Amino acid sequence: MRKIPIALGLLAAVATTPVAQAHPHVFIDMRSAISFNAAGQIDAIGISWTFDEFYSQFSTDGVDSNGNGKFDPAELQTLANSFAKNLKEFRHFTFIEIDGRLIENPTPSNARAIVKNGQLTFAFRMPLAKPVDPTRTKLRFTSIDPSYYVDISPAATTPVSMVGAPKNCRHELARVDSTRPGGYNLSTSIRMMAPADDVLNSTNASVVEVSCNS
Amino acid sequence: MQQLKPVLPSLLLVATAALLAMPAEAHAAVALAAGDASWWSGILNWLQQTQSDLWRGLAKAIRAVKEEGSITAASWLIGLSFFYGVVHAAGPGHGKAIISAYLVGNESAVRRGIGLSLLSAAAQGLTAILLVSILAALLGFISRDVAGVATWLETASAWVIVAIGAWFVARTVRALLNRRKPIIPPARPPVSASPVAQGNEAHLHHQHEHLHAPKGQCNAHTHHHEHHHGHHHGCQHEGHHHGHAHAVVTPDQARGWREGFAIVAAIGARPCMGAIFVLLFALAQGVFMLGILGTAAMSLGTGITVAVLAALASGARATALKVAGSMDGWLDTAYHTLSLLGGLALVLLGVALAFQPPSAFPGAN
Repeated sequence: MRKIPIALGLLAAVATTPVAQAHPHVFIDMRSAISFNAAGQIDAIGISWTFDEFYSQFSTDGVDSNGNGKFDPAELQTLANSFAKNLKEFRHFTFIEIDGRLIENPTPSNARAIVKNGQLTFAFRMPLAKPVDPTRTKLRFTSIDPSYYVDISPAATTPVSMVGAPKNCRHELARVDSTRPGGYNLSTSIRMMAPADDVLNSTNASVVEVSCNS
Repeated sequence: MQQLKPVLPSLLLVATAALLAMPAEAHAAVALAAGDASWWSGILNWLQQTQSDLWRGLAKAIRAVKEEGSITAASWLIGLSFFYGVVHAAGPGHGKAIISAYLVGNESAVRRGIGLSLLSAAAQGLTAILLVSILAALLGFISRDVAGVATWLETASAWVIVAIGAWFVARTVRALLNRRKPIIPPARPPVSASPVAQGNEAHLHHQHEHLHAPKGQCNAHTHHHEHHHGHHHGCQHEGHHHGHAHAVVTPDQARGWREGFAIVAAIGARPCMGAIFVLLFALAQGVFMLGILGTAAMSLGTGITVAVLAALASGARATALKVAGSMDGWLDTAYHTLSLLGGLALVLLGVALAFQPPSAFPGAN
């Protein structure tokens, strides 16, 4: 009977080792740029995703529609538009929070696709409907797939940059601890998570935070 | 013995939770309940990072083999693929939950659980290889159309699992209903009946995989064998509990294998997207054979990870039945509960898989 605690222990181990959602098939290196207007307000976030070679190959297969052996700008634009359209119902995996409140339905503009060294980069701009004054308002954002089919990690080099930022502004990139309570409550699909109130806190996202001293 | 009674239900509960592949919240809850969760975070981050590194390394390895064509580069590719499979299968999917549910409900033989795990991983790899070979290499499908067919296969596989689970549930319910019918009082074996002969008879009807209790041990008490439904206590009364979990008779072995193969086929029909990505990439690079090699190594890796879980699932079932076997009147309950839970889990898993969004990045179309 002494084996019962051992069995329970083993079961607990089984229960915890199959790491939730550690099952990505697409890997993205993300870079982001925070854009400021002349008044020192944040007016847009630029996001670029560089896909791993497997997914790059996969998604660019058939894109060379005229068969000239290279990707023409028009062909790449068609690809970018298709990405932008299909990512819509997934909120473009991009979550922007202003003073703790998520922007509903951010609409990207300027979707672009580039292929370089066999790797596809998809980039887009998320304009803010109302520019944000970072001295009084806290802005945070991330790109994440809560279902973790896609692993989106900050790029190794210059993951975050600022464009036209006042001198008193800085950005910080922090990884949210996935062991927090509720750390996995977004496990199914982004489809199911319309009221994603706390996405930036509740996942193991790499969150960018902008702050400016007044 | 008495104070152990609460243990069984909790054991069953834990087993069920484990076999349902633990919703993500539960993982976090377990980690938090364990108090210090930093080790958990560490494992998680390590797995994520390792997987990402291996995946990127794999693409480089394929290019390297293509350019160098050396044995060293090829071995590196195979090693990477294998290790990627091991790490990758730690995540959800790859039939772990399905195999576990099947094993908890039907099978205590650890060895067969491991066999089924390796077979289903091999089948998943083979499906990916066939899919890409036929559709992309022979028929010239572009990548995302291959993925479209894979998605269709995923859904089909899920419904087959629902059907298998429903069948298990129906079978258990039938057995339970039969049990409630008034049972003709079993004839007392004549005192002169040889216990050896009786034992042989039991063997014929139940086809154990294991040996019975040593002959002669069971003759001191009356032996009920209700052959019309297939469970049974060997000779666990009398306090000389020999404690073999197999005192509960497993369904006849041939049928067991048939059912096992049905499960393998259902899981195997669902190809691993990772393998498809590798194969399509290798095909595009003009080194399709490398993709096949990598997929084979990857399948072995995933098979090993799944087998570890399967072994634990079989062990959990064996332990539950063993505990139950040591308590009068609990063995039947435990046996039927496990069968029912296993079947129900398969149905639920199948439905969840059938309705989950297709596993594809919503990018190009």
